[in-house]
Amino acid sequence: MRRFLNKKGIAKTTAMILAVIIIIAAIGAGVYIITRPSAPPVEKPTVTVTIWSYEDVAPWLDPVLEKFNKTRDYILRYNFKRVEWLDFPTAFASAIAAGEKIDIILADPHWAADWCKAGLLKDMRKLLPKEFFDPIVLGALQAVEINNGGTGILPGVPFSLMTAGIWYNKKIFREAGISMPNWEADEYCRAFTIEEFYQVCENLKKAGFEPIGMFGATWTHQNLERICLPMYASNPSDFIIKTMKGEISFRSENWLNIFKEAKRISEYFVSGYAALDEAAACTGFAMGQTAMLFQGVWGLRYITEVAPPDFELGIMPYPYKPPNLPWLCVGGAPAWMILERTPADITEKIVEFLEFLYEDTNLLPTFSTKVRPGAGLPMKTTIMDEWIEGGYFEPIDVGRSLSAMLAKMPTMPWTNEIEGLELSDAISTMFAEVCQGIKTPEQAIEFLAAKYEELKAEGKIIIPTL
Amino acid sequence: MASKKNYLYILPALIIYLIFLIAPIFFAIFASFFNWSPLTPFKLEYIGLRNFNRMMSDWIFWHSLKNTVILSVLTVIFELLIGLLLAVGISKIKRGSYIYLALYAIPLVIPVSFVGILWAWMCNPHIGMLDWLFDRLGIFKQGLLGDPQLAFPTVVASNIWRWIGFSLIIYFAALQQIPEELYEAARIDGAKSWDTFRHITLPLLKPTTIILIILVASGAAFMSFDLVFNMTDGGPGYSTYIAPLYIYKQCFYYGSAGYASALSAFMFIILLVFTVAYLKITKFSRILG
Repeated sequence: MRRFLNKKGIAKTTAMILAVIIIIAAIGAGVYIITRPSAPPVEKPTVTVTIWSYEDVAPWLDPVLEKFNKTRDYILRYNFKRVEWLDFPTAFASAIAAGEKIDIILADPHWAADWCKAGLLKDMRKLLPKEFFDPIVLGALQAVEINNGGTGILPGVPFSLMTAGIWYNKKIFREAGISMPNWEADEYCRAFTIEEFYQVCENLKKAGFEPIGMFGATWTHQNLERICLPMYASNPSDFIIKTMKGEISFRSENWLNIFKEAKRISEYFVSGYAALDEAAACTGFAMGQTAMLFQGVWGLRYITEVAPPDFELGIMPYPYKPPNLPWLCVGGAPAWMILERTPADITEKIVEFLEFLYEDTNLLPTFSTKVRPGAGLPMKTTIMDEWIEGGYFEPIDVGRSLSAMLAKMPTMPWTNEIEGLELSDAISTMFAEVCQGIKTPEQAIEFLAAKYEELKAEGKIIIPTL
Repeated sequence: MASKKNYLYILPALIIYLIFLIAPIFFAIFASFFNWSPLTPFKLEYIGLRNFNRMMSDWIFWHSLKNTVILSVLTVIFELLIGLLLAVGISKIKRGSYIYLALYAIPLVIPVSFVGILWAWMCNPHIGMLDWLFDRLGIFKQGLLGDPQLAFPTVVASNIWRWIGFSLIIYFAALQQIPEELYEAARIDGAKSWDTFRHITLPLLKPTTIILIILVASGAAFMSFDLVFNMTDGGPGYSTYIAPLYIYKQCFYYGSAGYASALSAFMFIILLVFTVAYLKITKFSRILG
């Protein structure tokens, strides 16, 4: 031990330690030089936008965004907030009041009238070239524009085309011995007349089936307005606009008949329907508890989730009352809307992205029901055929039926898009109350006439212009 | 000096109270004279009493207010009654009374919104336990929440269920404070159980009852917003609308924050009048000493 504690020993030991350290460092440096990653590329500037939507956008937005970013000298990223559909207007209003940062929203246009009046949304016509709009189905575009609150702007670009009809279980219809009219071949897609429809319901009941699936939420009763309105108005859009203008009173015979018809139809709703929610009603239909379901295309997301593999799904137009024709509601739900407060440079990037997204090859995959079940129909005519024949919509037969309805039936906007939020809610609630026996049709129209007067006095009636 | 120091101690709480409670009340009263939307928070248009005029003819608001009052009154009556009976019963249990207390208090610790969802599921006609039960009994075929006649009573029942543990715990604690000697003296004088309950328990529980009435009535009226919102959202039709839900919709859904403020201000005044009157009648200040 003493041997090492002399000066020479200490020097030797120190030299040895240093040598070991140098050798290790040299080996480490060599390994690093051999294995080090190549020099990182010059980073592209990143632009981050905040998106609000009620549907989860990531499954279809991310792949398109990745492609988009490869073509640009910047990286577009997004912060995302998902808000439940029913809560969207209230959450959005709260966020605006609180000054929260939101750049772009994917939301339903029927909420937009107040947002436009408050100057919250940019005019998409000023941001996008005219050619961008050319292939978009006119009805879808109008459905967004109609919600501009009288400002004359186009508050958003439609991202799908929603429509509604009667989903039906083909197997149950066969078992009940009900034959369907060849409605797709008809010039106007006329399925059942209303009297035939009641007979169908009776036959289903006799065969032991609950005829119509429906649920209790107030808003879903708008469907009854859309179903019954064309029976008593040869031009439903015109009828609603005249009602909004005050030229047709809610106390009129037509409105009374509309409510009476709704009451009659509701006799065939699944028992206890008012206590059901949307998912339960759709699930019940998919499990064979009801033969039909009053629901829009969006209902598909519930149906496909639980339907057994041998479920034979069909869709048909709503019944009609001759001599009036059946009409089809079409609307742009949802639509991309850019907020007025979004800075110009970010807006520019968003617009570039929208143009990229709306290119047919990028748009088509987003309409795959595997990616977006219940997304609605494409709002661009240029991709419609490929969408159906390419199997993007499942079941393909239903896609063909929807396509036939779109091509042949006269179309009208969703009635709530014309009426505005508060009046539309009152109308839906009255349909609910009539169906549930709280009010008579006479009381319902009286209530609506008073509500209309109240809203008119408050300046809350907006007469849409197209 | 000591009293100045005391004021200093309550200052932080007072500042928070003023900013978050008192100031919004005054702002709501101020905003009720304006046409104002949350979408344009800095744009107020003075319209005088027009919001109050609108309120007078707003059938839905009066209907909602009526429901709010019924909800409060029924909740108070049933909750106090059941809470008191349970508290008296549990206080007689020698061992394990706290287990019962904990069990009854469970609904209190469940978030109210979850209580709403829970009851909505229990009343679901396809999978709901309650509807299954009533279906077996052959009654209430439309489902509890689907029938406009039954939906509101169901909401009331869920509210009572939610609050029952609250009155139980308060009454139970108050019962522990009553000296046993009083009961013993009464028993020696030949008083029966009912007599001791009527002449000793009830009078001594009066201050507790008064506080409970105020707390539960205001709680039932205003804290049941999330219950109704999640359970029925006001439906079927307008049958289960309560005033706070309607005010919320007016403000955030229809964008009429000015009108919603007017409704809130009106509700505030009503509650204030009732509370002051009630305190006067029951000589609350004397009870508090």
